[in-house]
Amino acid sequence: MTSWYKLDNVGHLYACVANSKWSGIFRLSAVLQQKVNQNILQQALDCTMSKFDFHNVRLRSGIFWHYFEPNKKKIVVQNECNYPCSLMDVNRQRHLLRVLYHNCRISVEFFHAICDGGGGWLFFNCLLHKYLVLCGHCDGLDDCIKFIDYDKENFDAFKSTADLHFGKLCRKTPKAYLIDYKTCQSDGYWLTHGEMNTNLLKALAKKYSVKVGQLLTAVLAFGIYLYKQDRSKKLFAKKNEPVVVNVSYDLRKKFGVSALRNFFSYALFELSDKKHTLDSVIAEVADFYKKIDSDYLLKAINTNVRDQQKLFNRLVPLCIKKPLINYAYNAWGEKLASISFSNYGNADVPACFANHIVRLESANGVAKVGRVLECSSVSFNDKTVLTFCSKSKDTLVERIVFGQLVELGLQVGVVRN
Amino acid sequence: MKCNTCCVNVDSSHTNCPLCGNIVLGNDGCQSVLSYCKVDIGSLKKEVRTLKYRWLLICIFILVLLNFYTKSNPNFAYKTEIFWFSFSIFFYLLIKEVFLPAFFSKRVIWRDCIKALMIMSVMLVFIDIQNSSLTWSIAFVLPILAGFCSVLCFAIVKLFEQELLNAIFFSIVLAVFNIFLFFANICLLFIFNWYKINLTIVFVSLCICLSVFLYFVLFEYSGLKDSTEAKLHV
Repeated sequence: MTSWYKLDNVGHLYACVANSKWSGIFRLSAVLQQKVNQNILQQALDCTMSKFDFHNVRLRSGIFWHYFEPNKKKIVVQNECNYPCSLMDVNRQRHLLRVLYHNCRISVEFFHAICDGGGGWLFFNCLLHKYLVLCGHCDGLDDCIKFIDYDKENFDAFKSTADLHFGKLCRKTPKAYLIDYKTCQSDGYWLTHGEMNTNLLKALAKKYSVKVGQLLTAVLAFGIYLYKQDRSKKLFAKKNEPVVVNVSYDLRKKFGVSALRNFFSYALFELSDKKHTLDSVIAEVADFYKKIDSDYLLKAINTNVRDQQKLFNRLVPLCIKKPLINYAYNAWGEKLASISFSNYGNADVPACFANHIVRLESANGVAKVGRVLECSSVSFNDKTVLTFCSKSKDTLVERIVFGQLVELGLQVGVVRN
Repeated sequence: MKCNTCCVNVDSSHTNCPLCGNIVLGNDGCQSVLSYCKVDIGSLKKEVRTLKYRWLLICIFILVLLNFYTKSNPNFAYKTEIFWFSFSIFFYLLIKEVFLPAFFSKRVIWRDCIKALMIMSVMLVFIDIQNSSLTWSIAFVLPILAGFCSVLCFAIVKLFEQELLNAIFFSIVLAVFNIFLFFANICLLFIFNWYKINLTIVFVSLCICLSVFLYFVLFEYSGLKDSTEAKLHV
């Protein structure tokens, strides 16, 4: 076991920005057909953690950067009794992930500094597989853990992929329209899942000559556009800011890299300032996705790596750097987009999962203030689950988005915590 | 079952549609595989409140210690003024810890200004002690300065967002807060020097102090705070 780990490029940002208002976590869940057994889940977790050393760490502050230190305490599975995606105290030397269970649902909540959705799914797959093996539902033949070369895949993929001579990306976007949901401090975090049939969704996307992810992005952007129009009648409404959707990209497939840590980028889809119909938004989204090629993403990686490698940024002590980064993120970073959307696509899971898992879910944690709504989707077993995570009891955007999908001819099943 | 308004299928664990709130006929609300646990909101609220007051209590404890130290030290001729000053700090903490996060939680910069001011105030007290100079001026100059700075900072932040009406509105709210604080401080001074001034002023001072207390109780222990937040959309 290594005595300490470096954070990756994105990890540094998350470590600096995490605070008592937003701890940068995301959640992956699986709904099983049977009730979860706590003891077996703990055994499965212990087995998985023996392979994923890097996930059992705590965040420490160095002189110039944060770093991870192996955590001697083992992670204990907890019965879920709090709100999903609730804040994680990452600065007080706790674990940076938590494994929760309730009734038939197993969930893992990760701090984004240790891994992104892609890396998280690898961990979650291993945990679920181990659990199902211990329950006697799966055989150990297609064990995901065996296929992971931990030493090779546990590295900073940003640094190894970046080609600093290739150029960098200039992102100049205006301040995005922020959804003005009412939030109260005492309110919890709310997840709204909408379940759809994947085949019907694919057929619908095919009708518009786009991919499922593109269709969902368009419906989401159009939903917020309609919400903005509804809100614009009110006093003090923000009318000039554009609707922007922050679309996350998993870079693993694009660059043929298998990484356990963070390796993702984002692109901002800005809805033009004119009258829209869903068809026109879908056309805009399709054009936008065409621009996101390998060159664009490589430039995005270069921008991040170049900033991190600047001598000045490296020499400034963390005690100065952290509040500055935190302030910059709160002042500008958070206001870049109206909502962020992570599409995990079709979950790559062992075949035996289909008989024992009802559905998979994913969610991105939201901040207590600022951008109070996040969205993500995942498909598994012919079911696509679109999840909104919010800090408010308001549901108008969710209602509009699911309403649009129903209007398009899909059956949507809704659950909320 | 289906919600007639939203046309979505609602899980059997919900008796009302989670999107529109309408009753879904046919759903019994029993637990399903998809349902989540019911969170005890009361304990969470209590937890948040405990955290807030823990910090307040720590600060009060430090201030009391400071007062004891100054009172027991014969070198400090103006010990009572330090006592007043600690009250003004206490009220700032009260606003910063209890009211600000809820009202102005979007404005990180504003909270940072207050934090910086707090540190500066404490430093000034120590400098004053070292120089054996009047702390009386600090006790009154700082609240005014703080009030002015906070209003200015907040107005600038809002103006940069091109929301003139919001800027004016929040500036007024903040100004009222600070004036209120300033008056509370003066009133405390009157109360503790009652033998030098007439009883009418003492009575008025007491009323204002009582209103501070009532204000605090109303906002923390009733639904007023939540409803105000909801109205202000923060």
